[in-house]
This record gives sequence, C-alpha cells and structure tokens, in this order.
Amino acid sequence: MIREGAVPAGVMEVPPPQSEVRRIAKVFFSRKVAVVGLIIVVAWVLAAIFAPHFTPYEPYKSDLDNALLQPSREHLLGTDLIGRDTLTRIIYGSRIAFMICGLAVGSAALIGSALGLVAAYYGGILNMVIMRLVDALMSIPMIVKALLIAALLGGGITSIVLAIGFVLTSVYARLMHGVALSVKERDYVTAARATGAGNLRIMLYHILPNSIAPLMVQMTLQLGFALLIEAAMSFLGVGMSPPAAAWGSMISTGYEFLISRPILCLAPGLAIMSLVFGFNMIGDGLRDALDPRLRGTL
Amino acid sequence: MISYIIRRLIQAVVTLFLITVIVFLVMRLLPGDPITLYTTEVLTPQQRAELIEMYGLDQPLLIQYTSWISDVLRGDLGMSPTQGRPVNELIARNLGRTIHLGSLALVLGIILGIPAGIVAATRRGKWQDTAATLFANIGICVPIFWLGVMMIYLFAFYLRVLPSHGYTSPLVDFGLSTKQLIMPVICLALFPMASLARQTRSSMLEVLRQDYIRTAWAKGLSERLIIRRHVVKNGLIPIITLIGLQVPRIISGAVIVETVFSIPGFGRLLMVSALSKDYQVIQGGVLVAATLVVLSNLVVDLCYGWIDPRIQYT
Repeated sequence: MIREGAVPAGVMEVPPPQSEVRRIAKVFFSRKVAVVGLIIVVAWVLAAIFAPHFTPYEPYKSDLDNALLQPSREHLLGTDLIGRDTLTRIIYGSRIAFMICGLAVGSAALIGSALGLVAAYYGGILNMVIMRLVDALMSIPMIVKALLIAALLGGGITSIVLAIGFVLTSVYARLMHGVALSVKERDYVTAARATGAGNLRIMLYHILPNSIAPLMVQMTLQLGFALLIEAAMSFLGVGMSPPAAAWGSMISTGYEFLISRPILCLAPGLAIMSLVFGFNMIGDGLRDALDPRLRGTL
Repeated sequence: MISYIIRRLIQAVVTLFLITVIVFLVMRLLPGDPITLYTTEVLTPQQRAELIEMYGLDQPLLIQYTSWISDVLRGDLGMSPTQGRPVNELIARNLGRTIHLGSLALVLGIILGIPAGIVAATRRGKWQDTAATLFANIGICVPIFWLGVMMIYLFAFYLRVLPSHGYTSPLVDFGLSTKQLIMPVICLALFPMASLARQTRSSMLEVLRQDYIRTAWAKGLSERLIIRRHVVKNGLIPIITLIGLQVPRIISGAVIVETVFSIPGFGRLLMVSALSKDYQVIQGGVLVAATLVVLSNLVVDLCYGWIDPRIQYT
C-alpha cells in the first residue's frame, strides 16, 4: 500500500493539474514585453475613459490668444494653431483610436470568420467561391483598398470603419477557414453530428469555440495594424478630418508648422507608436501563451 | 513542372478575373451617382441623361461589365475626368518611379532585415539579439508617414543635408536622384526590414531546434559552417514567401511615402485621384496594383520549388 503523499520509486511525480486559463496567464505574464504592452494599453484605455480628469482643457475649444505656444508647465506639449492644448487632444484622440480600431477589427473579425467558417464547413462550390473571392481581395494592397472605399464613401468615422473593416475581413476569413478545416474533422464534431446536432449548432457551439484562440491573437495584432491604417488615412486626408482629435490628422495639421513647432507632429506620432507597440506585444504574448509550439520565438 | 506552372497561371487568371468583378461591383453598387465615374462636373438633368446613355449606365450590370472588361483587356482603362488623359498613360508614366523607389526599398529591407534576423537567432539572448528584436518590434509599430515627416524635419530642415521632397530620374542627375531617394527609401524599407528580421529570427530558431543541427554539432562542424550550410539554407525557405508578401506592402507604403515626399509616382497618383474623386484612375490603379501582386505571388510560388527541391509540384 502506498502512503499518501509518497511517490513510488520509478514513477515520475506528476505536477498538479493546472487550469488552461491559469496556464495561459502564467505564460503571458512571464513575457516581460507582453506585460509592458498590457500596461501601455491599459494606460491608454484609462486615459480614454477618464480623459476629462486628466486635463483641464477642452479638446475642441479654440483659444486664439494662446495659439502655437511652446511646451510649458501649463501646456506640457504646447498648443496648436488655434490654441488647443496638444496633450489634451492626444488624450481625447485615444477615444477615436479605440473606437475606430475596435469597431473595424470587431466587424472584420465577425464577418470574415463567419465567411471562413461557412466556407470550411460546407466545402464544395461555396468554399471555392468564397475563398477565391478572399484570395482576390487579398491581392489588392491594403491601403489601396482602403483608399478605394474611403474615396467612394467620403470621410468620417463610419466610412473609415467600413474601409478598414473591409480591408481586414479577408484576413479573418482565411484564418478561420484554415482553423475550421482542421477542427471540423475532430471526433467531438463527429460525435455532435451523430447526436443529431444541426449545422448551425455544430458551427457555433463546437467549431467556433475551438477556433477562437488564433482568432483572438490575430484580433489583438490587427488592432495595431488598424490604428496604423486609420492614422495614415487621416494624415492623407481621406480618414478623420479636422477638427477631430484623430492622431493622424493632428500630424497632418502640425506638418504646416514643422519647422517652428515639431512637437505638434512628434507627440501624436509617439502616441500612435506606443499604442501599436502595446497591441503588438499583447498579441505576441497571447500567441506564445495560446500556441506552445511558438513559445520562445519572436 | 510545366503542368504546375500552367495550373498556377490559370489560378492567377481566375484571381485577376475576380478582382475585376469586385472592383467593377464596388464602383457601381456603392452609394452615389455612377455618372461620377466619368465626370466631375455638375450636370443638368439632360446632360446627365445623355451621358448615362452614352456610357451605357442604363444597361444591365452584366452588359456593363462585359463592355468594361473588353476595354480593359484591350488596355483601355478609360479617360481621367480630372486630368483629361487616358488612365493607362497616366499609370505608365508614374509606375516607373514607384518601381524604382519600391525596388530599392525592397532590396534595402532584404539586405538589412534578413542578416539582422540571422544574427539575432544565432546570438540568442545576447545583446545582438536584444538590439535586433527591439529594432524589429519598434520598426513594425512606426507609422511611416510620421517617420517621413520627422526625417524631413531632421535631415532637410534642421541638419539641411537632404532635400525635403521631389524626384529626379537617376539618368538625368544621379547625385540628386540618390539624395532625394534616401529618406523615402528608408521609410518604405522600414516595415519590410522589421518584419523580415522578425520572421527570419523565428524561422532560424525553428531550424536550430532540429535534430540535424544537433547532429552537425555532434560531428564537430564549426559554428560558421553549421550556420551557413544548415541553418541559413533551411531557415530562409519560408522567408521567400515573406519577400513576396512585401510587394503589396511596398505598394501600400508607396501611396503614403510618395505623398509625404511629393514623388510623382503611382502611389501619389492614386492618392490624388482619391482626393479628387477621380474614380477612373482609382479603378485602373487598383487593377494594376492587384495585377502586380498576383504576378509577384506567382513568381514566389515558382521560385519556391526551385529553392526547395523537397516541395513537390502537386
């Protein structure tokens, strides 16, 4: 008889079972850059939510007496052409960044993964038509695609969300298609089918939950990418236009005063970079945590 | 091999056909007046009706598509209503500059990005790895339009060592052309450089874990030989695909970089057309950009088999 707690000779000690969420959290938090990324993103989320508490100024209220001020104690990053505090506009700009990126990536993930899932599940002609269309869409360079949609729809939040969403949809369709193709062959899917579950039920309750990990990683990484596209489009004049406190359009208007006030371009650019860095590092950390094969690589 | 090439060519043609369908439908079915495809002028109802009849916009979509695609196949991409010139002439005139800029950026991205990835993987955990990884991680986060603006400030306005904008053909003035291209090429090369470095490092680390590398160490081969003959050779295979993927990124980047540095290339033409709602040029430009991407994918796929004999043409 083996005493409780004793390990018989020749038998390896088995570590106590660990919940999947705990294991993922442990791997994620063991990556320092992922933690740094999380801190950066959380800081920006807090800035976006509590923007009025961080600054006494209004992001859209002009103050011509204080136009183009150099950085000072009152205005840490100076003021723009019509006297608006640059730091305030950057803080409020994070709201626009989160809103556009969240909506664009969310809608692209929803539509794209639905297309990929349906194509993989049903196969045949439907699969061929959807995936060939996705291939065709992916052959059009992203900014060119976004320009096409933005030029047709005009500026503004809705147009830019649709443009970025359209650009990213094909990425999710292809990703979900690949994952769902392998998941649909698993035993539990066959078992569900044997118990009489319908196609919709199998897709939503059996294939989708088991394909969610790579989707989450991709969504986090795409948030940064969506922000870069939004900023570029706003800078080029086909995205958010002034007076919106979008970081890209802030750089565009600051460009006119580049020689005398480089801070008007420098500061919003650093804001974009930091948030994209945060999203990417979280994405990398999640990927390592969710896919053990990739652990240790970049 | 020949049947594989033929099959890939057919796939490329199908993709291009679908691209024409998507572009056509997007341009016709999105909200707005389809007549804006052909003119930017304000029209009286009678002029509008005449133009609609002239361009066949009252015909069913299938007829409209057939008519449009037959023009496209003959190389006629229509007339630019804002510039009053044939779209294919405008694109042909500007595309050469973008190919010049883009190819330099791609070469720079490859010759700096891949060695950085190799060094990072082979010196894992050392300062070279930290530096390369940090550079790569930051490189993919930098908005290239912002980098361009900051470089203009530093090198053109502050240090006054480089021109802030413009393009000169190297055949006309090689020195000026080189000076004008330094900043745009660096901006455009940054993302390919960083992503190639990241991917090369990952790919090399994967190879370093393989049994044949352990065997090579065990039989006493030098580190230099192992890296050159076994690690780099095998690790670079997936990188070929990634180099192919840089082509759409370079075209996207060209739209931004050419606008920032006022380079009259294909990207700037698309940008100007988007701002002036010149849909004929946008439509033609999207088709040309997509064709370039499809062709680059085709070349990459064919190179793949040549580089890695294990890949079967099935």
